[in-house]
Amino acid sequence: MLQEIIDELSQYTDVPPEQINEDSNLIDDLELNSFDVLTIVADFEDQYGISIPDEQIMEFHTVRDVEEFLEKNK
Amino acid sequence: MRAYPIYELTQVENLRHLIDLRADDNPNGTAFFYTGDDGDVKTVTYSRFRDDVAACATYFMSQGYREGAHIALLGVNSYEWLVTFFAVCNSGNVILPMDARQPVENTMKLLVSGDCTTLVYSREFAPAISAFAANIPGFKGFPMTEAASWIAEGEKLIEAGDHSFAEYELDVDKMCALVFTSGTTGVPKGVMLSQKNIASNINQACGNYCLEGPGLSPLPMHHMFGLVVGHLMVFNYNKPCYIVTNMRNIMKDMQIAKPKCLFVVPMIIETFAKQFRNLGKRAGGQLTPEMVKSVCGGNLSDIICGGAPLMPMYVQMFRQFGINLLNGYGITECSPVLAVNRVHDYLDGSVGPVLHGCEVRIDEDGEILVRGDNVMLGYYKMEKETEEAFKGGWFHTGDIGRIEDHYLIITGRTKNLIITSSGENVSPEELEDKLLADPAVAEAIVYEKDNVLAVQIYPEPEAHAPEEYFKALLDKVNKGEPVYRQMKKLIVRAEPFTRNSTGKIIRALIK
Repeated sequence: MLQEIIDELSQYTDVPPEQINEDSNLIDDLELNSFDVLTIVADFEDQYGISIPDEQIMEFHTVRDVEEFLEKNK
Repeated sequence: MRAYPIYELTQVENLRHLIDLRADDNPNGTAFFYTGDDGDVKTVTYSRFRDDVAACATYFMSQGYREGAHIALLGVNSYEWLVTFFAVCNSGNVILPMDARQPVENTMKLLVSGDCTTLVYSREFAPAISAFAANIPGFKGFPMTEAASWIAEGEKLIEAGDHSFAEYELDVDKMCALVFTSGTTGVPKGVMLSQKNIASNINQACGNYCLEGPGLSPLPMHHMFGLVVGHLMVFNYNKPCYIVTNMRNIMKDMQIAKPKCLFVVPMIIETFAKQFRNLGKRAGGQLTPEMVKSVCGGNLSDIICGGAPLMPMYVQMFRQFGINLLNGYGITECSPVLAVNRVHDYLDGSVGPVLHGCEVRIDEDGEILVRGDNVMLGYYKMEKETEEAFKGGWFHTGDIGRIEDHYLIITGRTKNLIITSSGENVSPEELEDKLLADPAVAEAIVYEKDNVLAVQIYPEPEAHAPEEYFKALLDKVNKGEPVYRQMKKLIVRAEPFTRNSTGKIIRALIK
């Protein structure tokens, strides 16, 4: 799961996958804006067939936050 | 490029006239369309919309909402949001569009400062309604999930001879909307807009741009740019307006709506640029205009972008894809548009020609001053601030700029207000006050760095607090704030800030 998330983020941000880890901050380290996060979340929703509530998205600060949520809810 | 005549449409006199004009012209045409909860695309015709607004207004009037009653509207974009907006404005009452992303406590404060005890809310806010009821005496809530029953009730009343809405004579100079905007003093200001203000801005905006197909805006409707340009301008052009109920689905929504024009803020352009880059990567590095058009629904020719400064490189990038990215400029106090680049009359790096009917002058300090029917009535219950904003008979925008040829170029702001790339206004003083409430903070300055909010703190030396203390403080303050107001970078200073001769911190020195 972690690798899939890292690959998706790497593709989106152009940051090499080896520079992304669980502690990478989506905004500070990967320089995503809040709208980027929304569109990536929409991709994850399609990929894993789940629905992620808006208030949950506000809690996504690091790659780990996304991973933990997807692991629990996929 | 060259100046060319403005587009001529029948001039809209007020928001009721807007609906009548279009419903008379094209009663069975699609006014709005959106994807429902069941995944099906719903369409609403102009005449259906007129009837729904009349029924909803009649229902609210029957509930005692007449002659300037204040009603707040809190919800994500929806058809019901628009019906409520028009029903309230067009029955002589005052709508208070609320930012659905701000903490509920802030919304409650704004209701109180807007003398409002009634809230129409979407289902997301149902859990918070008990807090409103506990904190606002006389509070009354109307869930938007019941909009169909208000409309049914209103229709029955009309059938039974209740013509109170149809017979109500609108006063176009009275306040019909109270829109809160972040102020420089840390206290949000209520911008009072009249029917004439909003109607004139629809006319002015439609004069500069001609829409030839469906329009789509993912911007929240409580934002005047999202509402007036992204939805009402499309409506006035008698073109189908797609309602984006959840911003995250924009790429899918474009496939459904096949828009001719998008109405966005720079943050969305940045995201599109990344999406297109990925598209190119997946296609082996070859990104063609056809691929870009296809991912945008196949019909996109123009994007109108406002709300915050846009980097000119994006304008050039989109031009390569055959899409006109037209940057504009506005301010809530001007209902909101003041200038926008035109398809054949543009200057990169500018916000385009000033709208017709809107007078703009640059004063000796470089500040942009405005006069025109689109300029607000004033700030609600803030006479001093209103007087200051209108000194010399011109509205002072607080923005610095110049006019080159006939193009307006924005060069800075006189206010400290931070405009994020999503077009949100953030008053740094408001956040600084929250940090300064902590005894370990001697000085704090919030500013924008690399598109995110940053803060520098000079600690109270006697407190001997370590850096972790301030990190925890920042987390605590951020927790109560919407994403766009969260401070992402922290610098703990060893030295106090430099101050000017009057003792004010010189913000310009902070990097």
